[in-house]
Formats: sequence, structure tokens, C-alpha cells
Amino acid sequence: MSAFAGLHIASSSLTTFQRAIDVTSHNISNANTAGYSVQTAAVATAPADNVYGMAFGRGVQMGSITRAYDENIFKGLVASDGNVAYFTQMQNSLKSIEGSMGTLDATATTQAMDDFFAAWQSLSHSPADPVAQSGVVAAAQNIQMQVSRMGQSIDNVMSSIDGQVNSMLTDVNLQLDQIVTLNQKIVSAMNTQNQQFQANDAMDLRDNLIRKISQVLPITVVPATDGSVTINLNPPSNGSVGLASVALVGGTDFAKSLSWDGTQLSMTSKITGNTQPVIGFDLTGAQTIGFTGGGKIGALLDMKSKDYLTQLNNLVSNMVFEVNKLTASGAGNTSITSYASGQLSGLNTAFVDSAVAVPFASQIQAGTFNIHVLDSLGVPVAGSPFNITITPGVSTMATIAADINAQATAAGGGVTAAASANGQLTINGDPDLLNGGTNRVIFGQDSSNFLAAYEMNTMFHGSVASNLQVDSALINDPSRLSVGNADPLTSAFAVGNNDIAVQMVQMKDVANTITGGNALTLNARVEGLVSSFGRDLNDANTRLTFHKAEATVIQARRDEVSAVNVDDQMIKIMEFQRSYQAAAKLVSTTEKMLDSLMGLVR
Amino acid sequence: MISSNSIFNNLTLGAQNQMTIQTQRNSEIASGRKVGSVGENPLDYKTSLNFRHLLKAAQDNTLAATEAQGRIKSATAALTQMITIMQRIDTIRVGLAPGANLGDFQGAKTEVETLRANLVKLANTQWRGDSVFSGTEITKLPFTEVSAGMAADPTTGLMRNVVNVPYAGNAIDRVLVLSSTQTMSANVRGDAAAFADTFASIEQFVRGLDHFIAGDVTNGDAFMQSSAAMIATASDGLSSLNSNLAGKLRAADAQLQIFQEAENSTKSAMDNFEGADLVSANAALQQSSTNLQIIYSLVGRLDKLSLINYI
Repeated sequence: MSAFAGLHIASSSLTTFQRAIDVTSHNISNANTAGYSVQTAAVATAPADNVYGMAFGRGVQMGSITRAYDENIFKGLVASDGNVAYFTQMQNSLKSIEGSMGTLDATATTQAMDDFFAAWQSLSHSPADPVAQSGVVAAAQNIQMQVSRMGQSIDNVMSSIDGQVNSMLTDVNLQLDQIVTLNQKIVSAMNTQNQQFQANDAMDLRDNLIRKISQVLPITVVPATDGSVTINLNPPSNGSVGLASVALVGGTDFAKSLSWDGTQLSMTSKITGNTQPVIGFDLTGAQTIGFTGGGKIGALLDMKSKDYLTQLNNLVSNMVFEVNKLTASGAGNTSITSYASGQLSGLNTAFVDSAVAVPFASQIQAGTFNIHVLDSLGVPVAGSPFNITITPGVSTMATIAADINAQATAAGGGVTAAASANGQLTINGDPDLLNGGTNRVIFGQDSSNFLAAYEMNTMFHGSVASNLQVDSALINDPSRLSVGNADPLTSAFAVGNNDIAVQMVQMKDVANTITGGNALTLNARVEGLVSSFGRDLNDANTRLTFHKAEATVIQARRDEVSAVNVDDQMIKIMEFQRSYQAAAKLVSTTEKMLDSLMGLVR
Repeated sequence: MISSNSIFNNLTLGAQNQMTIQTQRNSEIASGRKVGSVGENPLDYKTSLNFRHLLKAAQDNTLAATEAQGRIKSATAALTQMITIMQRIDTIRVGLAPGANLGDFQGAKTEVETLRANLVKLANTQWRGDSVFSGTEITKLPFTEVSAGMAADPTTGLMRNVVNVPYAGNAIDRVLVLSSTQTMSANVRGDAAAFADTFASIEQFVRGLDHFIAGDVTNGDAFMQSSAAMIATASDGLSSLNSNLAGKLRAADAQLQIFQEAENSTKSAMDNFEGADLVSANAALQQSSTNLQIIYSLVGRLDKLSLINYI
């Protein structure tokens, strides 16, 4: 054995402990790096030299540099990240709407609905009182404002979903590609000596990317023995719909690309170019295929399937139609001599009950309505009321106008009707030749729903939150508001008649439905919407709190295993430093020995 | 191995939780309610909305019953004064004893005509701008004195001015909505016979006075006699109407009481249901503050507790 062997042994020690200190320094430097896993330098005895059958030690060498990592904890983190992100996103989306739902201090639509009926009750006491009339119109405008605000608020959240999903998918697609690249680096580094440093750091980077993706999509990670991972999109919780678990990343081989077109989330293979649907919605917003829950996109797509807007629009539809049915068949203080339908049946040859563009056309049924005609002094003209028959599948705007004109002509005049080419019906009082002025026209006793469906003398226009309007003529002149009925037999009308107002107040407690589903009062519909929203928000709040606590526990477990304990690393530095110093001393001692030996030679 | 990171994370989560408690409890104390928005507790919120519907309905119904009360009282006051006037007219009639001279008859006629004008005004009584006795023709004055001009008396041929007081309202009752399920007719109408009898009896009285003034004592006496019976009938009719109104008023009073009790009990139940437990909220706040102080103290200690400080 050479006299230089000691120097070689000391050298191996210096090199090894230098690397060990490097590893420890790396740990301390990354103590606060998110996702960093502490690395441990395992020092091992170098293989011995065999000289003439005798083994001589060769010192020390770096055995391995391992990453502190627990696969189960990491999988728990991935799942936990998905849950926290899901409920955080859900909570944020719902909180964007919460303001429009009101608070107990100002209950928004609920209060507006109560105020509306209270205003009608007040008007029923003083039908000719301009203040009471204005009160009802103002209450109707308040409903319109509250409903519109709520609808806009819901719509803003819903319409932003597509943009958010696409933006997130852009990031996810990049991250999937990066994971494949990292997989390749990791496999290569693990197969190359002295490259473990790089493999460990690449694994941490990959884990970070996986956790980022898990905050967006529900995924499962499947590690392979070569160090790479496969990432699967979780299958739907309901096994009867959707697809089985599908691979987004296949080890070192491929990453697929995800895209969202507003109704369907698709996955495209970059190798074959094939695209397959992952999640989809039908036209009603119901989920048809795909996964449930997990990640921000899971929350956004679940949010997309919430039916708040449907509930709100059902409320508006039922309210508009029921209120309009009453106001259409009545009159107020102002003498109205001319009406035009707010809805157009399209071609004047179309049946009034089947006009596609008229929201409430399907509510028209076989029945009649009266046209009361009063002269300018308020005295019914001869022949009044004119009773107009509506027959589904037969009546068109043209036949209705002809019927009105025929009856009026037979009675010696009084009113004239016309149907325009676009299907608008106009009804005008004739000039009052005897007294001057124009005949007054009052509708009444409509059992066919025609007047309400075609918005003739109605309080509201529109049928859903986004297009609800209070009649502008009514806003300008609240005394037009229908409060009472003309007598069905004599057409006599008195301004103190409050039949419509009475029925309106009674309607408050009447359950109805024209939109399908259970018959409910309008108040019950508002409460249903607000409380179903509240349940979702409360659920998101509660579960977010739970999942955050769960995430903290799992993170703590991860920290116990993988985080850098600076104190621990400092101790290790001292150990390695001392070992390094000892090796240096060995060099010094060996040098002195050699010096002494050289002195003998001299 | 427990790292300082995990300890910091736990303390941070603890601090966040304590701050959430502080926010919730502060909100409870500030609003006085245990729930403020639907997200906090949807079931309680929905119950609160139900309470509000009930309370609003009870408040509106109370207003309606008060309205009915006012309307009936105004009608009652008018009828009571009309009865008093009729009594005065009868007193005038009785006072015209045999031996009354021309001046007495002329004076009586002047007073009776003035009283008739007052009766017409009372019959045109309005409540909040609406005529009380005109049915649903609330914007019309139900009664006006219409002079027919000088004409021969159909029985005696005496030329005299006949004054009629026709009814211009209609025969439809005003309906008041007390609640979504209750209505009541809160008035009497001017087409009731008592009103026509009243004005007819006065006209008959004046007819008698005209004949006395013209020196026709025989017919004057006959018309005066018949007017006595007519005045009695009219007064009875007015009293009957007033009794009818008194019945309606009692009904309105009873309804008002019921609605007020409903309002009060609903308000009380709502306050009990919604009211925050201030003692509990305060205790929770105190506890939370203590917890926060402990957490901050631990963070401070942990910051100092590092090997780096000793080497």
C-alpha cells in the first residue's frame, strides 16, 4: 500500500463531506421554498482495496442523496388541494351573488314583493288616490329593479365561467407539458450516477405542478417505478354517466390537451389528434357526462349547473302572468281610448296561441273577453260590451280584429280594431260624435288569457328577469293603473271600483305555476330561491372550513416528513464540518509523515 | 419531525379561526341578530323571512282595519249630525203652534232650507277625498240640491219652487281589503231609503210652509201633518243606518284588535327568534381575544426559539 493512501482517503473524505455540506446548504437555502423536500446525504464507506489478499480501506464516499417523501401524504395533499380550491372557488362565486339576495336588514326581492302587495292593499282603500296609484307603480318598479339586479348578478357570475375555465385550461395545458418534460428529466437523472440532486429537485418541481393542477381539476397521481408519474382525470362519482378515469399525462410519453367550448370539456391527444368529451351539459344546463367536484374548474362547472336563474325567471314569469291577467281586465282613473298589443304574433295568419315569440302564448285557452266602450261622458255605448271569443288553433289577430269590428259595426260603431302585418293588434275608440272627444275602451272578464299573453293593458312587459319592464305609460301616468272592473253586463264603470285591487291582494296567498313544477305563492318562490342559494353558500362555507383544517393537518404531516428543520440542518452542518476538519487534519498529519519520511531520505 | 413551518402554519390557521369568530360575534353584537345573511344559516334566514311576511301582513292589515275604522267613523259622525238636524227640523215643526204668524213661517222656512243645505253637505261627507255615501262613485258628490224652478203644486196649484236632492252615486258597496282573505263593506250608501226619505220629508215640510205663507192654512196644515210622519220615518231610517254602521265599527274594532295582537305577537316572536345571545357573544369574543393573544405570544416566542440564535 502506498504512503499516499492516507492522502487519498483524506481526499475522499474531504470530497464527500464537502458534498454533504452542499446538500445541507441546499436544504437550508430552500427551507422556505414551497414544495421543497428535505434531502439527506447518506455517507457510505468506500469499497476496500484488496492487496495481496488483505483488505485496505479506501475512505468514504457519498452513498445516496435521498428526498424525504411520503407518497400517501402527497396523494392526500393532491386531494386536499382539490377540495380546498373547489370550495374556495364555489364560495367566491356564490359570494359574488350574495349581495343581490339581500340581508335581514334589507331583504331585497322578498321585501319588494311584500311592498308590492301592501301597495295594492293601500290602493284598494283609495282607488282614486294618486298617491296610492303611484305607490303601486313604484313598488312594481322596485320589484323590477331588484329582480333585474339579482338576475344581472347571477348572469355576471355564470357568463364569466367560460372565460375563467379557458384561462385555467391554458395554464393546465402548459403544466401538463412541463410535467412530461420533468418526467423525462427525472427518469434520465435517476439512471445517471451523481445526478440524484437533479432528480430530487425535478421531482419537487413536478409535485408543485401536480398540486397546481389539482387545484384546478380533480386528478389522481399514479407513480411509476422509473420515477415518472401518470396523471388521471378522476372519473365521475356517478358510474352511470361519463367516462372512466382518463390519463392526462402518460409518464414520459404524452400529455393531452384540454379545451372548453362552453358546453363541453374535451381532451385531445397530441399524438393521434383524437378528441374525446370529458364533461358536458345539455341545453338546459344539466350535466350529461363527466366528473363531479374537485378543483376550481369542478366548482365553476358545478356552479354553471346551478338553477338560480331558472328559479328567478320562474318567479318572474309567474308573477308577470298572474299580475297581468288581473290588470289586463280592468281600468283606472285615466280614460284610455287606444291600445296596442305589446307582443306581436308574427304573421297575422298565425294562431295567437302558438306564436313562438310570445312567451305566454301557450297559456291562451278557449274563452272570451269583453270590450267595454264608453262615450266621452263615461256612458256605455249601444251594444257594449262586445264579447270576443278566442279559440286556440283558430283565432288569429286578423280574426280577432274582424270579430271586434263586426260586433261594433252591428251596434252602430264605437270601437275599431286592426291587425298589422307583423301581428300587432290595435283597438281604438271611435270619435264620440255626440259629445265630442273619443270613446273610452275598457277590457274585462278575460277568461282566455289573451290580453295578458299579448300585453294589452298590462302592468308588466317581458317574461324573465333580464327583460322585465313596468309599462312606461303606467310610469308616466299611474292613474292608468287598473284598479276596478267594468260591469260585465252594463259596462258601467266607477272609479271607486276596486275589484282588481282586491283580487291582487288575495293573489298574494294563492299558489300557482305556469312554468311547471309545484304550484307556489310568489313569496314562496322568492324564499325558495334565496334559501336554496343560502344552503349552497352555507355548505361551501362549512366545507371550506373543514377542508382547510384538513389541509392544514395533511400539510403538517407533510412538513413532518419533508420540510426542512433548520435546527436539524445546522446540527448536520456541524457534524459534516467536523468530519471535514478531521479529514483536513488527516491531510496535514499525512503531509507531516511524508515530510518526516523525506527528511530521513535527506 | 416537527418543523417550525408546521408550527407556524397551525398558529396561522388558529389565528384565522379566531378572527372569523371575532367577525361573526362582532356582527351579532352590532346587529343584535344571530343571523344577518342567508349564507350564515339558511334555515334560520328563511324562518326570519317568514316572520317578516307575517309581520308585514299584520302591519298592513292593521292599517286596513284602521282605515275601515276611520271611514266608518266619518260616516257615523255625518249620520249622527244628520239625525240631530232632523230632530231640530221636527222641533221647528212642533214649535209652529196654532197662532204662528207669517213671520214665524217665513223664519221657519229660512231655517229649514239652511238645515237642508247642511244635510246635503253631511250626505256628501268625504274620507280622504272619497265620498263616503256614493258607493263606488267615490269621486262624485252623491247629493246636490236641484231647484226645479217655479211650478204649480200638483195638488193645490200653488206656484212654488220645488227643490230635489237626487242621488248621483251608484248601488255598489265599497269593499275594503282587511287581509288577503278578508274583505268588508265599510260604509252605507246614499241610495238607502233613509236619505231619500230625509230630503223628501224636508221638501214636504217646506211645501206646508209655502202654503201657510201663501195663506192656505188648510193645505198647509195637511202638508205639515204629513211631513211630521215623514220626518219621523226618515229619522228612524237614519238611526237604523247609524246602528248598521255601529255594528260595522264594532267589527272593525275587533279586527283591528286582532291584527294589532297578531302584529305584536309576531314582532315579539321574531325578536325572540332572531335576537342574538349577547352574553354568549360577548363571552365568545373575550375567549377569542385571549386565544389570539396566546397565539401572537407563541409566534413571538417561536421566532426567538432558533438554534441560529445560539451559534
